[in-house]
Amino acid sequence: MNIRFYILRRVVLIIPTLIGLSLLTFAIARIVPGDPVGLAAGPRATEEIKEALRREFGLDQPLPVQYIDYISGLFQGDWGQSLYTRREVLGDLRAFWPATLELTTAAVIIATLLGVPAGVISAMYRNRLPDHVARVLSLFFVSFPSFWLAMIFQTWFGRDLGMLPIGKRLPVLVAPPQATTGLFLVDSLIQLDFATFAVSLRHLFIPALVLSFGAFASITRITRASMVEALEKDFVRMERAIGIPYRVIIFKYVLRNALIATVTVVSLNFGWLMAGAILIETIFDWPGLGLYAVEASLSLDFQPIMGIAVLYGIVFSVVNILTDIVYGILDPRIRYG
Amino acid sequence: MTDLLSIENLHLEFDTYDGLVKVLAGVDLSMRRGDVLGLVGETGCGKSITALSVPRLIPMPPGRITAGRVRFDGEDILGKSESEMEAFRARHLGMIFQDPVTNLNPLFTIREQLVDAVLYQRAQGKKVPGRWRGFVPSARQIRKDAHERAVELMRLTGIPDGDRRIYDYPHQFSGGMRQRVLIAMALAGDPDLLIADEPTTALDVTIQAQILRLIRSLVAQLGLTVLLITHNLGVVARSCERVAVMYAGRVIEEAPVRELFRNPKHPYTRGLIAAVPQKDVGRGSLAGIPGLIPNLIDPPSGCRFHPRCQHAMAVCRQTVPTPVPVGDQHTTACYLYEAEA
Repeated sequence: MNIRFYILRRVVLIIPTLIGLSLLTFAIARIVPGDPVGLAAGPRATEEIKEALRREFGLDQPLPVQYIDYISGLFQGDWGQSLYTRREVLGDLRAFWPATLELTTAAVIIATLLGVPAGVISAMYRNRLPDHVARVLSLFFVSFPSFWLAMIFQTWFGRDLGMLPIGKRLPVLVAPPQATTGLFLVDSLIQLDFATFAVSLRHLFIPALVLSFGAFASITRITRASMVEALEKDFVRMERAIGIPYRVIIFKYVLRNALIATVTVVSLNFGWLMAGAILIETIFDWPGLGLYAVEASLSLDFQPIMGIAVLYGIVFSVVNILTDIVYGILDPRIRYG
Repeated sequence: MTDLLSIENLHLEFDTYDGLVKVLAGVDLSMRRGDVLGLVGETGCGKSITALSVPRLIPMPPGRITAGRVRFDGEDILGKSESEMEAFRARHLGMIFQDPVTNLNPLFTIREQLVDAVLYQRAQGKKVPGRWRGFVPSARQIRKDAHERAVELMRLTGIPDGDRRIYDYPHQFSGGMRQRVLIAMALAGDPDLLIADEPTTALDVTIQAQILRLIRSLVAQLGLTVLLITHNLGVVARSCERVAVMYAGRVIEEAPVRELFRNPKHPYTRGLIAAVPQKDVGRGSLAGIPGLIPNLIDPPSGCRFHPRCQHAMAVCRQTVPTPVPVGDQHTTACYLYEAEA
């Protein structure tokens, strides 16, 4: 089986996943305790007002009809309205989601670029000084709560050293680049606006760095463990015996064996970071999806909740597909299996 | 003529939780160019460790060489730096191992592994043009030559359709074919010495015979020098010219193959040969050597075989016997023959 067919099969397989996800979010939104309409209408609303609201949101229909409406709405770009703000959910997601995506992606990239080399070095110098340093560092970073580190970094780099801004995506007086993707770094590059690119990179740096620490630790640990395991394999001894240089063995033959586990952890981390970015977003005043999600769930605003769940579900599915594709590229046995 | 390989009085220990294991206690072995030497002994006698000490692939620590020398073409190997060793292995050595399934890297095509073997063995420690430099004409030519050599090696080792199958992955080959690939990789740079560590042990009997035939024909075609490690006397009888028998970390007898099978001297060798099942003897219990292999943390004094030897004398418990000649190119380390010498 060639790689194209393998990818196609992975993509087709997410359709049932997404159907299941939509059923789940739909059911959960109908099961949550409390009466969203009552909350939206306020304490002194009459029964007639509530009834009108119910009709407006389609809540008076039988559940299967509601579900069909919901699905067809999803495809037509109608993701519902917030009960409170009366704003379109899809529009809100478009506004807030790119900020979170940019932050999370940057954090994952930083964690991978630092974590994989740290893990490799750790494994190469097992139980010697570089290994101990990497171990202590990763333990240090997992052990400290990220919100605490975030404030420490704000204080150091932002206030004491004055090197970097302490919050927001851009200074108030700088206009965001024309939105194509909503990712400021990408958009400013498209516009060839390097000044804005530099400014938003400076704003992104500390939040992304702080967010990356937990992922850095787990990526380092798993890379080290799987490198150590792969270094014990028979083929390493064979390759050394016939005169292949050790650095080629490490960086070409062993690393690829170890990276399969690393890829898994990177993709899991991507999900965790996206869900966990809320603290960092709050501290750095980062206008992302995290805050929006929390407000919606606290106020039982079920349309945004469903919208966020569907969006995250799609993102996770895409990340999973990418992971599977990378597996297939790394390991021919998976591709052919 | 100097010996191609000479191991002199090699002592090697392993540091374990239970104590120091004295794995090799004075191994002497020498090979000339063109020799096919079988190194036999039971599991744990140190034959694989002896073999691995030539490319210096014993992890140190926990291993430690406490005395002795390993020379290759007159050059001391033990004193070389790690980068000198890499060049040395590439230039002079080829090695094949027991399990062809785990000794090939599952994630790379045969082409990737075999071409690298050719490139690095030819480069002998110098730089090798990477695949990303394919646009440089000289680099491209080097890689193209290496590819052709790889296909040629597959033909040489009897892999059909080499020019097509070179793009396959290891899991698409049978065990016997994988062992042939490993032999091809070991031979990629025309090594002076091929070390084969139990090359047939993990294979089916019919495949074993094919691989042995291949090794014999390669010896005839290329004039290879082979150190063949095995616990199987039948393999030795079919493939080697000379045999060295090891027991508990020492070579106790060395002779041409026919001489050894006809006229074994050391009581251990006699026991070993008597223990080979004969097809005409019929049912009944198999012959064996009484006793167990010694514990190498606290090995027996003197001759390490004396607790199991029916001819043991007082002197055997006190001092280590040195090899004495007992025939044409035949030596044994046993006090029974001291008087004859």
